[in-house]
Amino acid sequence: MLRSAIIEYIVQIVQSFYLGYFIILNGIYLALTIISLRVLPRFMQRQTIHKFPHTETGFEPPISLVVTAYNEEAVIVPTIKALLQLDYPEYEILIVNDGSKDNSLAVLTQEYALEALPMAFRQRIKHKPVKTVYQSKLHPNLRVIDKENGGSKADASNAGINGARYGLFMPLDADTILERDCLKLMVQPFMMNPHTVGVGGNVRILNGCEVRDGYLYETNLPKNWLALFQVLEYTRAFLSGRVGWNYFNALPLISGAFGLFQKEAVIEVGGYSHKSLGEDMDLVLRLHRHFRLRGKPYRIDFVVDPVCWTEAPETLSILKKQRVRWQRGLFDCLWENRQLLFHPRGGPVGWMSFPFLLFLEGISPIFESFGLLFFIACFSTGLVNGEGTISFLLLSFGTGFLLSISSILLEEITFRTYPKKKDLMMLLVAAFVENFGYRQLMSLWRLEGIIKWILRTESSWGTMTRNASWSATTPSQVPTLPPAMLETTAKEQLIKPEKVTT
Amino acid sequence: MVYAIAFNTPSIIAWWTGILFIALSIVCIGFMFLLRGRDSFLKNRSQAIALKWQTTLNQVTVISKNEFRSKGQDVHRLTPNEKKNLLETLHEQGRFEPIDPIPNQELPDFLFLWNYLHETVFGESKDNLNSLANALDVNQNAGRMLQSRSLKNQILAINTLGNLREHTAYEQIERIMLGSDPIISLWAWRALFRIDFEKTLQKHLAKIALREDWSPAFVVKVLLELDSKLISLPLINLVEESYQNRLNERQLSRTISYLSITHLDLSKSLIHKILTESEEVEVIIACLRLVNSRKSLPRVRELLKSERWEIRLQVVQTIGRFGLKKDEKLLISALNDLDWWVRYRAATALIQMPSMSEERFEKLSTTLPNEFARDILHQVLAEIRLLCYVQPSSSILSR
Repeated sequence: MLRSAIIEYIVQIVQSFYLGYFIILNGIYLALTIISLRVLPRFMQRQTIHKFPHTETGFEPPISLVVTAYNEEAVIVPTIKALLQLDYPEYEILIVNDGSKDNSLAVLTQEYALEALPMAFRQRIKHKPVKTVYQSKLHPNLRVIDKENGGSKADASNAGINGARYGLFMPLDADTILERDCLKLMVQPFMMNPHTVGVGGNVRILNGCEVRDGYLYETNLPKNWLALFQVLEYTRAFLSGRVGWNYFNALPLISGAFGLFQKEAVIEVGGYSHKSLGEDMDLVLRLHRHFRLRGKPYRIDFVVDPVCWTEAPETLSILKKQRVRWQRGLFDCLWENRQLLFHPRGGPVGWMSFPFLLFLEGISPIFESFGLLFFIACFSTGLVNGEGTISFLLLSFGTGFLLSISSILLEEITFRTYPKKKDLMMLLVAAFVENFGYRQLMSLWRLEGIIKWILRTESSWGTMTRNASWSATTPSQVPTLPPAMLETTAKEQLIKPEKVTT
Repeated sequence: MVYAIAFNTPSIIAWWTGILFIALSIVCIGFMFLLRGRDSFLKNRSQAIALKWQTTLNQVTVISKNEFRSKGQDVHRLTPNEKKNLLETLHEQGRFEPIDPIPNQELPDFLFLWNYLHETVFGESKDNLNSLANALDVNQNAGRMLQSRSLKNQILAINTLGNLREHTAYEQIERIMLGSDPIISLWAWRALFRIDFEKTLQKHLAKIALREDWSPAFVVKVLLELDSKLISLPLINLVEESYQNRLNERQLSRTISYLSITHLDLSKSLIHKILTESEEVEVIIACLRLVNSRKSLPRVRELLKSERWEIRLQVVQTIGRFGLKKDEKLLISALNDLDWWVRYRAATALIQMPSMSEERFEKLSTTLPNEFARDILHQVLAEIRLLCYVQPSSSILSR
């Protein structure tokens, strides 16, 4: 009798804990969505100004686009083609070939008539040695830094930052497709507020879309269900999460695929970290930590209308690797920047977004996975009846569904990226279906990420297999040089080893 | 099976919260479809308005014959007779016949089209657009739109009234200009200049020194739209006042940078004075960018010893701009600077000196004792050669 009373008491405590946890976690998500619902329509109305012609001043600061590439021969040419046609007064494109084993360099040399430049390369932040810097003879604003593989995107990005000519730089992935006017929109916060050190933009899923000559020609939803679920995830993350945190100047992350940074500020904090798997989040948190704890004025902003498109994994194995890596990266970043947590000078980052990342986002997979197992166990052992179990499952489904639906609503109010009615219906169906399997799978993979982080198992940056199905230039169309010629070209062009100045 | 726990309080709360969230989701979905219906209606209406006004607006914005000739532009696919008729109508009437006023719900779409055209055309066409707007009583409706809670309508109204030079709206727009929103206030500041140049110059030019939240690039754009003869002296006075009133470093340096749009001969003594007296880094940098008097050169050369690399960087660029042979040695010494950018700019300035030849530059790149100096010369030489390859007409070394 006493034993069953104790068990009953424990079950009730666990139930109450989960109820409280759900309400707090999803309450915060909903609060962020409500803030976005209030902020975004006004923001969109203000953008009316940019619809008038000649709103660009011609005095916009120049930008260095740093494209990191490792074995990207399939997509690098169309990406550069598109970048060369961006609508912005002054910018340079800096491709960092991170020791690619494929024909990336040969393809670039052939396509853009690269010639070695005896560049006095200065290394203000650490990275693996640079072999050669090339300059395109066709485009004065295109250079290629060929370096030894550093095993991480951070290493390649740091080389790009060191080689960048301009005060603002934008790190990009080699498969990223930018909208033509995105630089003009991204630079606005830097022009309005001199204390701005970083600006994030909106990232969307490219799968299913049609790209011609590096331009987005037609927007479609992906046919692959995994990619479709990721469309929802990206919408939730960018339209409600980031807009909401940005309202408090507490943005914890600028996507590695699309952000604009003040170079000197990034160098001041030591550039991208080689240690962290989540180098993009780590950089933003370090910028927060650096400026907050020193009491220096700064602003890390997020603007929703500049959009970049990137390819999402379409297979379970690649998606799993990505999610495990992200979760490990999250904990790497939180651990490295733990000084921010509840620091008296931490401000909204130290008291709001950082604790949210740690206590709710970070460890939520533990609670979600064990919660699911607990309720199933209680039901199967007769501790809780069907109604009790279903009520918690209903709560879980209801919150997940509402969060996705409210993000789709935000998308509808602002950009309506997918204007076809059929696409809207598909998104709604996906918002329903993702609650049955996909979310649980994500929780399990994230749990695996946490375990691997705790056990400190060997980590790697991992590779993302690009199928480039969206590109009109398929891999087979990419010009390649025969191996013998490739060797000669590399030898001829290697003029000067890296020089480090003090 | 007998369950230990039936439907307890946490379960009941979970149940009803779940139901509530699902119900809210369904409401959101319904709202989405309503929104799509509404937007489809609005889009059709916008298209209908655009179609309705297309001909009139095209007629209004056609430029006169003489302007076409002087600008060498192409006539917009109009036959000579059509163009002649149109121009005759516009010139003879000078003003349009009264047309039915625009219904309120059509006004924002019409104003967007009208403002869009206003930003793209010049001279007489702008006057014609204003005549049309006056015939439609747009000024009164736009005045009401200034009070609108919709930011979009407010922006359209500010711009419209500015383009119409509507004096009666001056005070209302002035209040908006004093508001905290940096974009709207700057937009309003521009409209005030369009409405009453003299008054705004007198009352509100100083705002560019005080409003740190205004984008300097957009301020310059607005200043460039104004008559530089009329704006030069007030700007110089503003900088002088700001300097005397000990405005903070950032504000002062920003204000000085606006002098770049004035006639530099007028401001050179003021720049010389500030450059000589000031010790503030940003102020010195702003002055160095504008220095054009040889009188300031001793001070500029002296600043090459500054501890701040940003100042040394500006110094080598300034010295390069003057291009005096006797400064070659200074630039060569700057090639030994600890900062990469100073070395790079010194090399760039050096290669562009009128007294420098490719042969001498190449010789320097092999004979200088400092390895870093040699490296930077190699790089700049290679860059210049590549630039010549890309743009043969702009060859710097062809001299």
